[in-house]
Amino acid sequence: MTEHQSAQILDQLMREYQSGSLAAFEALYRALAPRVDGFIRARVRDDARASDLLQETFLELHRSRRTYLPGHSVIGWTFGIAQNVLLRHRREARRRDEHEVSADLSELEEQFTPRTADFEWQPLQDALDRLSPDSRTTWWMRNIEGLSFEAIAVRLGIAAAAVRLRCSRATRALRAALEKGSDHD
Amino acid sequence: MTETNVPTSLLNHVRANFQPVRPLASPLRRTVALVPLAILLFFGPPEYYHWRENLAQLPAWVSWGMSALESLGGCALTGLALRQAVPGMTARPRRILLALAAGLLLFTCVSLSTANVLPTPLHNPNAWARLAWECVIDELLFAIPSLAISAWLVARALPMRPSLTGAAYGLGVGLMTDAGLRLFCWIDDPLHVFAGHGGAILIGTVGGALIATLIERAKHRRLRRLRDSDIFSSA
Repeated sequence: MTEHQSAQILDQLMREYQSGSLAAFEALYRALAPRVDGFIRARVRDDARASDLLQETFLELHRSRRTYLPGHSVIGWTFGIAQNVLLRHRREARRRDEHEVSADLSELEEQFTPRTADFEWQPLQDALDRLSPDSRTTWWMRNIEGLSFEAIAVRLGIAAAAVRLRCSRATRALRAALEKGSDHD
Repeated sequence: MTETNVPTSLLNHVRANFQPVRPLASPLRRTVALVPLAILLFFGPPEYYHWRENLAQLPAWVSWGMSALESLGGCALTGLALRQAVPGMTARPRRILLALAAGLLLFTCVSLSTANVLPTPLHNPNAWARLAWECVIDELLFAIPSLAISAWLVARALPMRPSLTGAAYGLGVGLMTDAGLRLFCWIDDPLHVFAGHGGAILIGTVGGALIATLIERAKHRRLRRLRDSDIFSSA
């Protein structure tokens, strides 16, 4: 199949997807995911993070499906979205790094003025309870028991990359739940 | 060959939020759709306040011509922002910065050439700050609704660099509004024009950048929440 024909097929699938065909979305995913995955992995080394970004790219693609202009390159459009997601990821990572530096400083401060007794465990407990059992166990092993990803992988009988993915998602979900809780307060 | 299947959580999310959508019009068509807004901003301020008293003394190319040029420049910048918001059509940041610089240069040229053709100094130099502030307010009254419309049009798409995109439509709207305001404001003293009219344009540019950034952050936070909620629902 020539590149032109392949572009035409993708354009047709995109039109069907915009007019409400779930099968077209699945076909598009099968056609585009390996390329987008390669694009992301060439820029992000962490496997778990790359899988997250791939999923985020397709979520964003779904949300922005109306921005595809029929007749234009589907590949160019998809890579535009993937680039957007990557750029956001970099900005967030930069912000997080800055935040972590200040968090380290506050940890030092805590060594001199212990405030563990003041910490409210209940919101964290509630958020943990809301996690799926698999995610909760993985997060607990990593963050409370302090096990390495590899050790957790052996214990649970899954790949280390899957452990990383679970931990990263669980941490994000916990953070979101705790932020939501503090917003309500 | 192994087949890539859609992850269940993604498929569930897509299935739950799946309805047909109408593709956005091309950036060019959306820019053309902005022409009525440009016309409103061109004739709105002088019609709403009053036409400048010394309009007849200005040659047509300076009054109408320069205003039309400024309005066209504003339209082009807003069009660039609309194009910038479509994935796959994004221009390099350097080009956007160049376009922003060109917009500011256009405003400077229009203002200086008008001041050169018909110098109208302030009657009361002590009142320059008050008069400049009045022009800022008068311009913003028209610019803010237009800024909201542009922000909405851009937010429907997906700008890659929201701050630059927002600055482009903010400056665009600022120029379009100034094109009308200079047909109402009779003072061409550069100090007044750069402080009052330029100040409003600057507020529009910074405001646009800020609005676009905040909108994209809110959209992203919603997306993240959606993705993270999957982990709670999945076993």
